[in-house]
Amino acid sequence: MTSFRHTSWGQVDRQKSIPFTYHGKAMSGYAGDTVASALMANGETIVGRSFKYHRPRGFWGASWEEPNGFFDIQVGQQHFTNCQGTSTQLLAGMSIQSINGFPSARYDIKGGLDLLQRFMPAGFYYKTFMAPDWHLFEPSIRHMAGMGRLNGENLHADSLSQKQFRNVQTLVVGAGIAGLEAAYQAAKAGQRVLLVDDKANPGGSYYGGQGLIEEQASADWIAQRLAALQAMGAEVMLSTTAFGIYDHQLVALAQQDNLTSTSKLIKLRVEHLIIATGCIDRPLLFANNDLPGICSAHAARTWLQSYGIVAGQRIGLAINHRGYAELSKQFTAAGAEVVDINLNNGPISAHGWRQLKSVKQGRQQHQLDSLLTSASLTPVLSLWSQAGGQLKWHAQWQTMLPADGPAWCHVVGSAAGHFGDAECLHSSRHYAQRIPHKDTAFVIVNQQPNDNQGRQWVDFQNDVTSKDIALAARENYTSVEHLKRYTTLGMAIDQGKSSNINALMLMAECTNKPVAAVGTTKFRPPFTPQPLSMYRGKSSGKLLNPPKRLPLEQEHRHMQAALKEYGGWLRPAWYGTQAWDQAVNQEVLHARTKVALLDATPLGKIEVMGPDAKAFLNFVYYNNMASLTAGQIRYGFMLTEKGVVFDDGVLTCINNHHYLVSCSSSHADGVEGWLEAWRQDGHNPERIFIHNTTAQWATLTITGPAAKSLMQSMDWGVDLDNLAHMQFTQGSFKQHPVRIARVSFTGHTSYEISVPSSQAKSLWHTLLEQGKPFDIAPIGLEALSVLRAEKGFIIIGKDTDGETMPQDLGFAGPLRNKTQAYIGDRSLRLEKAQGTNRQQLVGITVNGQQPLATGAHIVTGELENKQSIGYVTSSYFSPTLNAPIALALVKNGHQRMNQKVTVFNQGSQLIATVTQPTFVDLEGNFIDA
Amino acid sequence: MQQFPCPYCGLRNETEFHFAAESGKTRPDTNTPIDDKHWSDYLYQNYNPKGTSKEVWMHLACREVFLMTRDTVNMDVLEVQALRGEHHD
Amino acid sequence: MRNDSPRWHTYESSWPTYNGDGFSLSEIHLGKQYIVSGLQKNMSSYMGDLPTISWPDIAMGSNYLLNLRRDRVLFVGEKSFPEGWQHDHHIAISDVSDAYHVFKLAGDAALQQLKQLINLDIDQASASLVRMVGQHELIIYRHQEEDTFLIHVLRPQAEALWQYLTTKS
Repeated sequence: MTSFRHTSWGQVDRQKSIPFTYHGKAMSGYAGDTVASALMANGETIVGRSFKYHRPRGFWGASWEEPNGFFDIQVGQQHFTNCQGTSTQLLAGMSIQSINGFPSARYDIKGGLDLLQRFMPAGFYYKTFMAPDWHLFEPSIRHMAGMGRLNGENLHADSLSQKQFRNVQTLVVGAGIAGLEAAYQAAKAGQRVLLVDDKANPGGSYYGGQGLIEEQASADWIAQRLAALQAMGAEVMLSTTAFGIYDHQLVALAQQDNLTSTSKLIKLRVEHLIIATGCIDRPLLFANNDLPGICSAHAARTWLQSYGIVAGQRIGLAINHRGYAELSKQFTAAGAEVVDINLNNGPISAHGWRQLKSVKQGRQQHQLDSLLTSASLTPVLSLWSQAGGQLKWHAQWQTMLPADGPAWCHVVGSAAGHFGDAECLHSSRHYAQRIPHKDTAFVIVNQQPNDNQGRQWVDFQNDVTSKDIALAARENYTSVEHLKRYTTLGMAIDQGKSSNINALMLMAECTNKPVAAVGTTKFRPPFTPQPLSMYRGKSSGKLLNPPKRLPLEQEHRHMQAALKEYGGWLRPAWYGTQAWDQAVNQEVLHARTKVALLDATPLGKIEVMGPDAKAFLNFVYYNNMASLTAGQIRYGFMLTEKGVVFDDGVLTCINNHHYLVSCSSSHADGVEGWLEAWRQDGHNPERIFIHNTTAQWATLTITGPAAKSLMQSMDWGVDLDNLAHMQFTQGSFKQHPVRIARVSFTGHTSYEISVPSSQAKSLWHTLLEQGKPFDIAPIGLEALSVLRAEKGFIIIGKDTDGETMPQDLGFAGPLRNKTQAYIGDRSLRLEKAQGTNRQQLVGITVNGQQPLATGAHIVTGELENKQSIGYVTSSYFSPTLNAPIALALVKNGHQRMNQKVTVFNQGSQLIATVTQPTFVDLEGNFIDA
Repeated sequence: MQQFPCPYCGLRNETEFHFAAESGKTRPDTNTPIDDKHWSDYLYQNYNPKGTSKEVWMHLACREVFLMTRDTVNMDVLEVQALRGEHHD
Repeated sequence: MRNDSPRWHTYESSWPTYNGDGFSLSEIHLGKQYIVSGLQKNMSSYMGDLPTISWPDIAMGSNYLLNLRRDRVLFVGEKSFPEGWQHDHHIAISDVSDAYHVFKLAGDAALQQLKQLINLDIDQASASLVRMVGQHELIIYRHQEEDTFLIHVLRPQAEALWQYLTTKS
């Protein structure tokens, strides 16, 4: 056993015991512990197994830089995979399992893989497992290599998350002494400040420390700064990670106290960013440097100060710089035996089986159970780089420091190379001046402490050694991007935090280049892994993409409507509890024999007004709309400039300066945007005004042979006897305005009755009541689809595609006759538009009762060489004809009337006949004109 | 999440905006003969510059159509220009 | 074909007061509402001397104009206007009294609730009161008190907004 809990040191609360289990074994920790510190307190040494060779590993880091100790954790009803032990707060009742080791990390049956290491160097995946087909090997490799397990029972357990937009003047990332001081200075200068730290407690590497800051006890110094910040109105957020920088100075913050608390995503716009993220240790490279017991010096200090964990009983210090002068004293006072190893005396190597037993240096051998190492300090500069800041290599210090960067970002403290308290605080006090670091402040003991002997681990998690990097160089994968992907270095959960710099230095050596020339891979967010559930906030399930609701929804439900989503609205598909196809057939027949009632409220209603409204609409529509008189309605198309039909609908002329555009329910907003764009850019916006009043009006359609009689039996405040088809009038319904338009989707006489939405219920009930003698019944969208298809009325986007032009649909009149300019006009005269082999709308009929599949292809030629000449766009069983009907787009369709064609669908084929795209009421007599 | 300065509303998140077109194209007068190349250029020709790009955008909240000059490499917004003034005489 | 009626709970189109953590949400009924478009100077003279509310102005009383666009306001108040194109005044008017539901969101945490969906702040002025949430428009302004917000939402989208604001997270 190496690590142990000090009797009194650390910031944990020894009065609050936290029970948990580890691989089923009951253990306990204290409030304030992480999973890692609790396991270390309980004597666990081997806490993980490396990805490839399954080598035993212990904890290495202080928090997010930890590469070895990841766990699957069950707490309450929730299960979390791949939790980083050093950054996960311990909670009562946790069931913890190590990962990548079976049955556990400590006793892993795949540990024997390491014996095959000679045959599994970097890149071996690419070179083996090839024949006969690499797909065969994939499942076994995945099974062997998996990290963590999902618990099937708890996959859908709700986890709460919040999202917020915020703006702040100055954000300071990192509440160590550099960040605290910089925040204090910014607040003093009158700025609105937000200070964040990813730990639960402020103070950074001084948290829990016994030392002095500017002659004051560090705990007091920290407390004073916090009090001053609060007094000046600055905000401090803990357990908050700044994980990404995005365009226009957006910083993403993730706040979460512990695994089961609500996670919060804050999208923060900042004017200034001060980065005070500190440093981590660069691992010293030497033979067997991955043995459990070997760890980062800074981490061991954090474990001691925060949790009272002493790394071992016999602790060696292999520190290649003077940055940790107090460590020896600190650990001796904690009760350990400390051996300070001078790296100028020669390279070292570690020895032991499954954990560190000794360290050799030349002839000397030290019996140690723990070794604290640091080759140099690595400033944490991911955010700086994400913001566009440059890095430069400091050859003496063997580390990357910030160079030039954007004016709105500053780096202070050790992250900018200001090592030592005085330096650090000075840089923060004058952050605006960007004080340069002092070259004398930091000294590397031995520039070349390595002998390149034995297996030296660079990326702990993915098992990448210095020999693997040399191999990559030999095989010419020398660019840093190739090095990463060939060896998988930096691709594990830790994303190269502890391995990148060592890798660059080795690659530089292998290729005889300066480190600065090797470069770094691009830093991208998130800085630490973030749960996908955090990104959604409340927007999931019913709140993700809710449909629009009808004012008459209660009424529809009352009549047993089956509601479904159509074009973004929740609408009745059919009514009644019988089988849906029976209901649809009944509704179709009812609409053709009696009178039917349809809720048409989603229809777009856009008012276009002004002295130039007429000319504007005549330009926007394909059809001649300038000739419309007051009270007249005309069906028309809107084309894109490429001549493609993108909306159809009716235009009503209320008067010369007031028109009503009725467009497809599913994209009223799109049409309004289209009209606005042309109004402002190409016309005079002071003479045209466009109001989208879709939500103001509820529209109910009455259709069928008895429709006119029903309408005439009711009081509309206006005479309807002479209201012809495609005419509009206004009246009153129970003292409210009513608009009545004779427009038909079914071929039968129809009235679209619009009242203000608040009167929808009144109108609905009145129509049902007054309609009783006429046997009125409601119909849904499915029946409407059949009714309109029987008449060949198209649905844009279903019976048309991205190339369909009006002449393809049989509407060539305006193309021939309209003289004024309109959108798309020139495109209709292009060679391709005038071509003879265009896809044209036709009808398709087959024998039997089975409708064709929508999307089935119409084909010509021999079976082996069949060519598609079109496809079925709409297909239904018509109860009116007691036969299937279909609409299709077929090349040269207008010339193929009565031809037999082959319809092909998923391996089977039928003979069908091409017809006019109208099946019912070909003469148009159903309309009582 | 970028933000753009609508000439009428000021800074708003990018999701409130809609890119309409590269600026500088004028619709040919289709009451007069237009050759195929001219029409094709109007429909399809775009410069798609690396760097400074002048574009037509719409702010969906206030439906303002305006010109915005941006740098397509570093995403800086360089200038916005309203098509109309605040007050009319 | 599947019947989706059970997937969506019944929608009442009127809502009781909801009391959340530091905020309350209730439906209120205003007078008439009209979209009025035209030249700025014509609109002011036509509708009388009413204040035009932008963000973060606080509207008082029951008669005011909400600034929507460079050439458009939403009239809120007790008056009635003729609809359509008013040629003499060069103004277009549409009654939209039934197009919106209006919610009142009040309390210390009210602004915070809005900031889940929208990036707005009291110290970031903006002419138009229209805010987009996805493709949907909301009209948001302060009324009577500093931390009382009125939200005009189009009728078909009101239920979804209510659900969103009253779901705990």
